[in-house]
Amino acid sequence: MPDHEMTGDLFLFAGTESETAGPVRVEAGLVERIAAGDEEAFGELYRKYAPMVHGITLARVPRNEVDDIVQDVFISAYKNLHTLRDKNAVGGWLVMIARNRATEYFRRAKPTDELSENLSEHNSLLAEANEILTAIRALPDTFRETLVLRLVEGMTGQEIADQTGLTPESVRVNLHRGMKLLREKLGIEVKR
Amino acid sequence: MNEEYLWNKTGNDPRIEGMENALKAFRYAPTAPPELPAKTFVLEQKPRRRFLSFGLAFASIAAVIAVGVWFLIPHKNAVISNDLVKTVGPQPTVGHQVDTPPAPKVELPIRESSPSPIKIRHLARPWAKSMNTLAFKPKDKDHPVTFTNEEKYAYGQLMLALSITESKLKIVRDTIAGNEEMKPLIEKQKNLYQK
Repeated sequence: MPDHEMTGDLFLFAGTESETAGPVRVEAGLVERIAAGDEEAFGELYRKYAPMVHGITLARVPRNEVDDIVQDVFISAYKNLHTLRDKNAVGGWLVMIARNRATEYFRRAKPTDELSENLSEHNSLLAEANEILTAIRALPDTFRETLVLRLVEGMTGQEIADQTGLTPESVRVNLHRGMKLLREKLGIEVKR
Repeated sequence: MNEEYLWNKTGNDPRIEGMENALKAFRYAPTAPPELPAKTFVLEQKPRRRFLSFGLAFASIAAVIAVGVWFLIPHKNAVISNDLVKTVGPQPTVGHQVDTPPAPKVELPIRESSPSPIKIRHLARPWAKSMNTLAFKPKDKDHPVTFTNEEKYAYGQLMLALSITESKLKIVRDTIAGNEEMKPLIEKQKNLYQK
C-alpha cells in the first residue's frame, strides 16, 4: 500500500467495533460459560487467546518472564471476569490486562538482562532473532505489539484485528509503518 | 515490501519471511491452561460482614464524637487558667510592711453568667495543660465543685454518647462471638440500617 493511502492517526483500541471487524464474535457465550464455572470454556478461551497475550507480553518484558505473566493474565482475567462489561470485547480486555501486568513487572522487579541471549550468540539464527526482537521492542507500543503478533506469533492482519479489538485499518497502518521503522532501525544497526 | 504478504501472507517477501523464520524461536509454545483458583468468597457471609463493618464504623464515630464533646466542654472547675480568672485584693508592696492581715483573695471567673464556649475553648485549652489539672479534684475541700447547668448538660451528653458506644461495641462483640441471646437485637439493628 502506498504511503499516501496510510493516513489517519495511530489507532489504539477504538472501543467500538468496526463494520469490517470480521466474523460475528462468539466470545459472549464463552464468557458466560466461564462465569458459570465451566472450566472447559476457560480452556477454550486460553487456547484461543494465549498466543495473542504471549505476543503482547513478549513485546514488553524479558522472554524468560513471558510464560509466567501469560498465566498470570488469565488467572487475573478469571478472577475479574465480573468486571468485563462488553462480553464480546474479551480480546481487548485481555490485551489491557497483559499490558498492566507487564507494567507491574517493571514496577516490582529490577529489569535484568536476558542471559540466555548473550550465551547463545554463537547461534546465528537466534542472534538475528534477538537483534530483530530488540529492534521491535524499541518501537512505539502500537507498532511493536502489532509486529510481534505478526512476525513472532505468525498471525495475519485480520486475526490480529479480531483478537485485539483493533480495526483492520488500524492494524494495516500499524504493520506498514512499524515495518518501515523496523527496517530503518535494523539498517542503522547493520551499518554499525 | 510486499504489503499483501505482510497483511495476510499471500505472495512472498523474502525479507519478511526471513524475519519470521528467525523470530519463530520465540513463538508461543502451547501449554496447559493455568489451574483456576478456588472461589473464596461465600455469599451468605456478606450481610454479616457488612453489619459488622457498620457497627465498627458507628462505634468509631460515636467514640470520636464523645472525645470531641469532652474537649469542647469548658471545664471551669477542673482547669484553673490564668486567662480565666482574675485576682481581686491588695497587691503586695515593696518595702512597706503592713500589720493588718491581708484581705482574702477572691477568684472571680470572667463572664460567669454567660460563658462563650468558643472563647473559653480558646483560652482554656485543657489539652495544653498537664493531665493532672484535668482531674475532677476540688482544689479546696471546703468549696466543693459545683457544675453549671451547661456543664451538667454536657456531662449528660457525654455519658449518653459513651453508653451508646458501649452498647454498640457489645453488639459487635456479640456478633463476632455469635451470641444467641443477642440475635433479636442484632436483627433489629440490621433492619434499622437497611432502612
